[in-house]
Amino acid sequence: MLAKVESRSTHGIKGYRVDVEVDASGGLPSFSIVGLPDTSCRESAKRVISAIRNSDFSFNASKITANLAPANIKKEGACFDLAIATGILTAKGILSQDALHNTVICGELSLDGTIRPVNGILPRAMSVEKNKTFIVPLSNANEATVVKECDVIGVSTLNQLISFLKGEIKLDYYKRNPKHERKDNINNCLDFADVKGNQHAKRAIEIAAAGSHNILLIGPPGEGKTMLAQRIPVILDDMNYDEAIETTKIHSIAGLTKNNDSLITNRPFRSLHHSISDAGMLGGGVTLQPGEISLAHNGILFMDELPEFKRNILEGLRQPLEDGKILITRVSGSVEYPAKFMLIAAMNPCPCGYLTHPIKECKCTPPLIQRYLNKISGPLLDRIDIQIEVAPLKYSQLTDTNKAEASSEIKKRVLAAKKIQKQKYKSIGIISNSQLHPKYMDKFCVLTDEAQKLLKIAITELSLSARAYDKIRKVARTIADMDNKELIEAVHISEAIGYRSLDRNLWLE
Amino acid sequence: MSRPERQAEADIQKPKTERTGGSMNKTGSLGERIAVKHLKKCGYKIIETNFKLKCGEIDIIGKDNNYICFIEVKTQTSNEFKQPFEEVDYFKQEKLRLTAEIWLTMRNLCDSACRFDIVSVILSDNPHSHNIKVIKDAFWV
Repeated sequence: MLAKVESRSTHGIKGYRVDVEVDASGGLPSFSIVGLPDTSCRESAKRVISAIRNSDFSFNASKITANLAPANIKKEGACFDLAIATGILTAKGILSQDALHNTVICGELSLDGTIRPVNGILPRAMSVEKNKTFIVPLSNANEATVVKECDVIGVSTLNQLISFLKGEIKLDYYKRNPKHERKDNINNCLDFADVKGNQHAKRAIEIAAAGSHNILLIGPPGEGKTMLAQRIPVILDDMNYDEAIETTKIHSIAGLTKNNDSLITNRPFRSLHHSISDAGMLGGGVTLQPGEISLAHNGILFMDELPEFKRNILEGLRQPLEDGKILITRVSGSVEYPAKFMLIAAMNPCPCGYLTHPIKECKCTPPLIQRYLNKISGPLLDRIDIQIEVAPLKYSQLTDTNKAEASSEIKKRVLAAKKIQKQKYKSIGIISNSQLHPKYMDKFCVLTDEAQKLLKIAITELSLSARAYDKIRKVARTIADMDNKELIEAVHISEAIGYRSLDRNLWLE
Repeated sequence: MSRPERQAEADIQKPKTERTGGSMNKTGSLGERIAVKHLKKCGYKIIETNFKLKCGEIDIIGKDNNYICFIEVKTQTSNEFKQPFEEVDYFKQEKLRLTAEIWLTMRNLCDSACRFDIVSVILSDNPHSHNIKVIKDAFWV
């Protein structure tokens, strides 16, 4: 007999419908799965047989063929186990086909018949139509109910599912527990008050956070670059609903949402090591998984020791930094992932690290320094709005017992500036100055005459690029927003120019 | 086309009419006789024994509850440190599958329910206490 079960799979961050057709007929006993399954999908035959037998259903030998339609798209993962098992039991006459009407089933089976969670439930749930019932593993139910598109039922064993479909037991639609919103990225022990001195750098970080600008911290080792960067998530606002959905979708596909998680509301903070591979950074691999830049979507990507990263990885960042998305194209297909992140990078000014140190002598030769800095190409540097030097601390600063300004104070100012931006850009659908499209620049970044004059001198003297010109105006816009000023004034422009220290080549002379 | 498959082709075109009565192996043929007796006791209807083709052989073909059963008999004397059914590995299963397919085709029974069983016989000196085990639905192909 033939049975049809509806299921869902994912491609990129979108879900699509997969029909699982199961035919059980006479002939030599065999179990084949067709419709471009990958290895883990093909292995589902063994899991399904054991699970059905261990759930006390009789399972006689027969020739079983399961088809995953559409047959031209590659299917990955174990998420069809439950649909195939239901299909077999329907084909064997234990369930009626009518019981599966308007029901979508997803889940992985373990050999004893319990149902295990699967990755990417949120994008799948979003592709289920409103009038249908979506049956998911119980530990995924919280995530599936984030969007109120369809009715969700969480099941924990195969027996429970079959009794429910037969109508023997009643299961309630899952109600979302809002307590399960994930708040793990913020480490409350971290506070800007712990960082001594470096007012200049703190101010730059505040501006970067307020306008979501990319920032590069340069300084000798041990002066607090990493400390400062790690504290940035503390002063950021939470994501709004749409942002949270998009970020959760990516984390869901990568399998990073844990049991009972529903929505990620904190901005993600991804701290990278420089040994990262191309596919790990940008996305890819056999199954076209999202990379770190996509996992940091709507959040922060922190790259410590920037020049130590491989050249192709740094250059690979160029396009995503500009477009806010990445298209991964391989032989097996192409997938687009969003990658709108705030880049925070830290580096030493030279290989030994003490080039800018006031007392300690630098041991590097000029060609060595040049080679070190050449790792960071002009185009990449151009895309980093704020480049700031972190200065070494004096003894008096180190022993200063007065606490510096607390994160909560800084956060208040950041939130105020963000609020202004949100209101201003409501009509064009962006939320921060860094996302401002060039065609709106003239409308929103209006300079006073004095500021215009100053900028003209700066551009000609420092021979800045057209992009740098735009970036300076964007950063100045953020500074003006923090000042609560409508027009960009000369002080704002001069501060913004001050944040392009690598353009000015201060220490290479 | 693999070697057993080529042989199977040849077998279909020119099936062997003469078959040797039993296995040449003494232990094996004794085990098969014991198995047939035991299966009959268990309610099997024996259709054919020692169906032999170039590509392989099926020891017993029987019927149990509307299932056509292709039965492989494995026999050993008791002094071996393994179970007889362990001998039925992937390659043996492939041979059985091919032979069974040809048998079904020759009799036009391709759509009927089938299954592969294994009977393992451990011989003992006492003819009444042989250790016989029937594994129903032993493997899928």
